Amino acid sequence: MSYFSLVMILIFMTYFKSDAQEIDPLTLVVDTENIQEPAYKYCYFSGQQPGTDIRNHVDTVSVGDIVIWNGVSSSSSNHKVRITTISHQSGDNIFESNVLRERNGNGKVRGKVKEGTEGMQEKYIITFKVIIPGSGTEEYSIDPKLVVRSN
Amino acid sequence: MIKLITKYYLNLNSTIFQIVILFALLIFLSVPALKAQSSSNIDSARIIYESGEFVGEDLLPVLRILAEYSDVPDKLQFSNELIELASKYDSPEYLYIGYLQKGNSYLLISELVPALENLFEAGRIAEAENMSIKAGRASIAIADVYSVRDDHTNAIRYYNRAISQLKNENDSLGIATAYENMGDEYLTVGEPDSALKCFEKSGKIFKAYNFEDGIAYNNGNRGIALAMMGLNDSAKVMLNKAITQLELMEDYYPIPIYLSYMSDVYMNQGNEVVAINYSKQSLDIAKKYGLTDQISDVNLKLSELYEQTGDYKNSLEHYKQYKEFRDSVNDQASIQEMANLRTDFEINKKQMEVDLLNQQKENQRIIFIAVVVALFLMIVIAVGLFRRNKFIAHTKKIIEREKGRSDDLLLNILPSEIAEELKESGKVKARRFEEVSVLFADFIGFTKHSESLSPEQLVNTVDYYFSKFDEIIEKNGLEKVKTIGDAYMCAAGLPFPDEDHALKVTRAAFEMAEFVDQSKIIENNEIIHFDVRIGISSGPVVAGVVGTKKFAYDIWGDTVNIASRMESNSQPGKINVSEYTCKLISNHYNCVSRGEIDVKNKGKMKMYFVEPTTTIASKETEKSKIRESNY
Repeated sequence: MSYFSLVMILIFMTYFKSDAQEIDPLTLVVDTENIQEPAYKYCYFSGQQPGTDIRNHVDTVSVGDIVIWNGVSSSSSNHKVRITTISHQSGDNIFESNVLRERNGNGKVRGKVKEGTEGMQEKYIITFKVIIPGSGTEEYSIDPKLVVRSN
Repeated sequence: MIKLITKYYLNLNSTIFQIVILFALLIFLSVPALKAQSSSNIDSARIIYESGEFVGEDLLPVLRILAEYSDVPDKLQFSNELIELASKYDSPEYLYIGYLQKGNSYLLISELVPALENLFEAGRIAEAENMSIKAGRASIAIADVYSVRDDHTNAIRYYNRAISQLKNENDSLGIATAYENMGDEYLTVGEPDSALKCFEKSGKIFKAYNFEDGIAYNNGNRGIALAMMGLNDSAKVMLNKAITQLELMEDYYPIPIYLSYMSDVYMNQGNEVVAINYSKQSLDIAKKYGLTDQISDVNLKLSELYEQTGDYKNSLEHYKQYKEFRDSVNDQASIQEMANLRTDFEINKKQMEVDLLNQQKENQRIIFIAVVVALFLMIVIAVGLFRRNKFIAHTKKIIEREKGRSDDLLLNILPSEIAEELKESGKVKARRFEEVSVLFADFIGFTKHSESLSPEQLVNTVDYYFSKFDEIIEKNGLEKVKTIGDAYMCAAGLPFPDEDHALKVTRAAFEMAEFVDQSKIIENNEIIHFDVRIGISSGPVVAGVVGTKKFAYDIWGDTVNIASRMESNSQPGKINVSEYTCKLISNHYNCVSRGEIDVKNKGKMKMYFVEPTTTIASKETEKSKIRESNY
């Protein structure tokens, strides 16, 4: 690779470098074996303090962050947890749209925190499907919070 | 800032209009049950239609689905086919749907005059068939057209009319639609307070029915109204709710307008970055759905926002885009404006026709009521007159009957001529009659017998004799004057002069005497047998009526006194007459002189007993004379 090529690659990467930075996914851990309504009793986020209520759990993000939600089962590796939508419930909407949807059927949802949202808080509804082979699919939702770091 | 927002609000009016149309059609077509069936049914309906399996009347429901759920221009084509088929099979319900969907088709392509014509026809059919809900729906559609035409007065008028029609049928969803669209109309004329009141009413109904589309639009519209009122936090809540709901339903068309208002809210709160983000988001969706008006407006807004942040490059860029789209829009607007002039004229003409028709209907109604009231009054008056006439006739009959009885009574008391005179003048003039014969008859021993008789027996006896005497004097044309106890007094020659007065009285006297004599052979314990004494005198008398009560016709004069003396000096069964009477009857009766007899207060007077005639010839002669005198 010539020097010129290296310079061009560097320029290309610099130009198309996104300000957005992907943070660690917000992983929803679900007791798929026992889950029933109310669903919040059978779920928690991976970074959540033990013994706390997921409804009161607040994740902190920064402007420009790309937030990814995914789900896992705490009961069985055969069980699937698919996050389908993240929809605004109250407070300010800190993402590009009020409803973020699963892309490509991968069970994950991603959203970018908008500029100018520093210090804003959003309560949102995370909707997910629990797929248990042989038992079918059930849909549940819970409503945690996100807060954007202030400058 | 407020000025900017105000300007921006005004620029967004056309978009609000689009939301009104969209929402109106959405409500009509997206009642949950219908919404579910629409997408699947329209495909099935089209397959059935194209297969030709359904013909005639069976095709009506298929065409209905196609007319309701197809896009223009198919919607218009199916509406026309539905109208034609419904007319052929005389189905007003399908005919109504055909005209309604045809009107909606024209509305979607902004052909407002034919839209109104067809919607009016749909409304007319619904009202004629008493389909109040359908009439209300047609009124909403008509109001939507007026709203799009910026005819605020007629728009509000038809929304209110729709609400009134739908309330009669408790069509809650229809009422909610009318309130929602009326609220939109108030937003377009800058009256957010009135709009909010309408949205509160419609929102309650949508929530009660859990009608998601209605709830989403209602939240968005409330957000706009609150933003226009400067209530930013409340506006933000409602707009966010609406945007979330619409995104979940994947109904992106109205979202740009709500995002624009979100931009205004954040701008008001001093967060220019977020405001720009919302405007950019709005622009992206507007571009995606080709909303040229909004692309232009949002570009201007972004230009101003960037200018305020010192980003002149972006400001210039968006201003250029604004100009580009505005020119494009203005070109279209100029063309549209020219078309609108004609449309306005035709719409006004159509509205005048409708108003005139309504006025005619109202006039006909008033005339009908007036005629009914007049007829009723005439019937009441006629019945009243009939009853009054009947009452008068009845009363008259009673009066005439009573008058007849009164006359009869009077004639019993008085001679008919005297009675007539008394009735006419209220009094009777005393008259002198020169030639009168007066008869007195008296029962011998009556006073003596009366002491031993019961009152009933006494009265029966007197009645028996006097009744017969009455018959006799009536037969002989005499006038009964009075009775005094057992004495009977009558006269001839009054009240009209009669030259045969003496003959008539004499004949009657013989009949009386004969009757009394013959009564002696009758065996009746109730009747007492008497002898009668009769006296007659002729000469002048004065006759008249005395008193004001219990009128009595009486006669006075010397002739009367002499007649009384003749009677008192007579003998049982005999007829004693005065000299002058004897002279008057001497050609017909044999008068046997009794010589001169001393009479109290009169001195000696000549008296004669009249002998009954013995020959038939003389009797016939007498009868013929009497008959002649009666004529």
